[in-house]
Amino acid sequence: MEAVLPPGIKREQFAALVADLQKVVGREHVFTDAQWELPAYNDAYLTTPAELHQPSAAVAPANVEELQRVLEVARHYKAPLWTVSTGKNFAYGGPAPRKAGYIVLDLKRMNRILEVNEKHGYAVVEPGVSYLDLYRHLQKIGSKLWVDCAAPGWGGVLPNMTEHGVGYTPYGDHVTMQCGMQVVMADGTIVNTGMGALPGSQTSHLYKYGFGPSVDGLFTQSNFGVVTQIGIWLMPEPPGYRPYMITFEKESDLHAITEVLRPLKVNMLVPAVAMTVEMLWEAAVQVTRRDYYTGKGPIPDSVRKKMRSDLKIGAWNFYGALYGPPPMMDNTWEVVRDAFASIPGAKFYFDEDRPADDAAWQYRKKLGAGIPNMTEYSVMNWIPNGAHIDFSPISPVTGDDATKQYELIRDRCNKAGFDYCGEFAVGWRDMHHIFCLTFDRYDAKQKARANKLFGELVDAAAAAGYGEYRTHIDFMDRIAGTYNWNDSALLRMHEKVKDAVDPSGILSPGKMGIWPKSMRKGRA
Amino acid sequence: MGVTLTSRRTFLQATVRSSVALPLLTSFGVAGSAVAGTVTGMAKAESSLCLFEADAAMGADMAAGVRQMGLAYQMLTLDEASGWHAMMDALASARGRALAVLGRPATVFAVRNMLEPGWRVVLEARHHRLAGGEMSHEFTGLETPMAQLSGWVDRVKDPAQYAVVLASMGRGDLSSGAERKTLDLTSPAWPGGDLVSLLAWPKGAV
Repeated sequence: MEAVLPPGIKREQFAALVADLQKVVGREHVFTDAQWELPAYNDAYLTTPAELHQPSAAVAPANVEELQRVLEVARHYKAPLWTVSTGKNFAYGGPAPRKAGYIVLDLKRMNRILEVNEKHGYAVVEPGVSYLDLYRHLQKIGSKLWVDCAAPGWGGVLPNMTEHGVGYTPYGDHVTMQCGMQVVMADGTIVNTGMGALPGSQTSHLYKYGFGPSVDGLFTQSNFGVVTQIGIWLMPEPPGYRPYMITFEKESDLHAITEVLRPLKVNMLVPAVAMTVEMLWEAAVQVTRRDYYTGKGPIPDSVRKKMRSDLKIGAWNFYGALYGPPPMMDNTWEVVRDAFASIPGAKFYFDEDRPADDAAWQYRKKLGAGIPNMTEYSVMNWIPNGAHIDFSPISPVTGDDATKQYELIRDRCNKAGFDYCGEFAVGWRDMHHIFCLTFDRYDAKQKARANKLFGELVDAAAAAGYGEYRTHIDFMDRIAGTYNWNDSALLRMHEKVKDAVDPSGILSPGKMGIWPKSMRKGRA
Repeated sequence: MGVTLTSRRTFLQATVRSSVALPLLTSFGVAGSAVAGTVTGMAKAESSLCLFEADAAMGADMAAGVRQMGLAYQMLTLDEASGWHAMMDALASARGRALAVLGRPATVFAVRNMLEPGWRVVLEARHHRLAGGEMSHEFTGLETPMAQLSGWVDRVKDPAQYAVVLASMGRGDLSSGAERKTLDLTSPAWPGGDLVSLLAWPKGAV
């Protein structure tokens, strides 16, 4: 791929900019080689031409001081930066910038675990710390605190939170569990939020809201600053952990499952982020599509039935877990079991009931106890050259809504020639419905169909009153455009904030549809 | 070469006795004095690191194969945090060495994403079975390692043998402007499912 330049910057200026960045972080941490280095900052799962998101360079500061000087260089040249760190964010654009020519600000080297507080149950981490890193550190120091991780454990603790990610334990709502934040603003100012604004504060990571407006949320899914530290609450190891799985025979059982689940969830009898998983997700972790079906288009019912039988899975599969002293778990289980037993055909499994080689059960069992792994990534073996973008609308926890969303997506994706592969992550009052739109990344026609389907889903969901919580870089403007109540008052407010805190417009222009003043005409 | 390679053992014996791996090694910068020694000695001197998936077909055979060549190796798994950490430790200690990686597509994709931009992936190959039973090998990368490997592909019978050949290809040396090419080859079927392999050289070698 040909080298590109940042928007509005000439070749000679770019050379000077790169030289200035090299002075800050060292030559080895500024990447400009389009053949060997910058492909690491492409999105391998793009459904649009890679040229649209080709970075001009990447720069990796080691600490806050270097970051401040990188920002100074970017302000001087008015060069747009695109912030990434550890974790891969595949399905949502990976490390690729919103537009060609941006310089990727890679925070991977800022990877210190600054504190683990066993007494109060939290850790303080920099952006480059992955769940696997934090887990390893906790094991090494003999901590009795659990990590709550994303399914691929290479995800970053900080960036997953700032992208509103969820996990699988009772601490699975990562934004809720974040407490205390350090942000470097576009002008280089370092801000401690909440209680951390008090010099010598004893409670920076214990009380979330501080004094005055609580601003932490402004720095999640946004481009208002660069988050360089967060406190994250960690769950103490409970006296007992008993994961379970319930399988359901019929596709239409989704309605009943969701209705049964809501009161259990609201009353905290299902304390973790529980998962209602469609069968193909379960299958894709352990077999390939070709093992069962080599035809084109959606997999026929007869084949799906055989897969369910072979893999001992249901059309829908519910994963939850009991936590606490054994008598408490026994009591809770009676309630949970009796509630789900009202659905004909429900089958109940504990660890000892699942086959030892059941990869799907094994990794979900680990996730429920905060043990990171990468097993779910095997879903990409489902089809040759597997890639995916995720369509992620939020749903109320009702049978009607779950069914409506499922059918809205299933029918359109089947018509476009794709299988539905999805799951519902059930939070306190909502469900993150994750549809994993899987395609062959070397098949241009499939990619074009996937892109078209995704756009149709955005529009259809919005028309039905459902919005997405997160999306691929190619759809950020389109989805931001659906949040347009009262003449797009929220987006206009975001733009006012952007102009105030980043007047040079250097931080991740276009992230979540928020563009700096100078680039608003470029809104796609 | 005219050698009938009926098993991993005979393949390795043939490789070592006739030094058939030597051309691969010499072409990628192994010192002349090392070439005069045994394959094992050479491999230690150049010391490629072979990463392959533990639960892919013939993982154990691969381990035996690369061990006999005296090459360092690390099993890969997506399923265990300890396995991932072992891989990351191996990568951290492998600076300056070439890497040969073989595993299921998702696993190798994941590994590749941990390598770049620190390593240069000079060659990637997708190995999958065709409807007629033959194995298809689709290479993308630099011409030199591709040409070296292509001469071997129709002679290797399984992923274990392929791993040995791939791992015997040490660190290379070429200009940064080298053009990427593609090459499609076929061979008799390998056991097991689809695989992906890659060869990576450390930054600075390219």
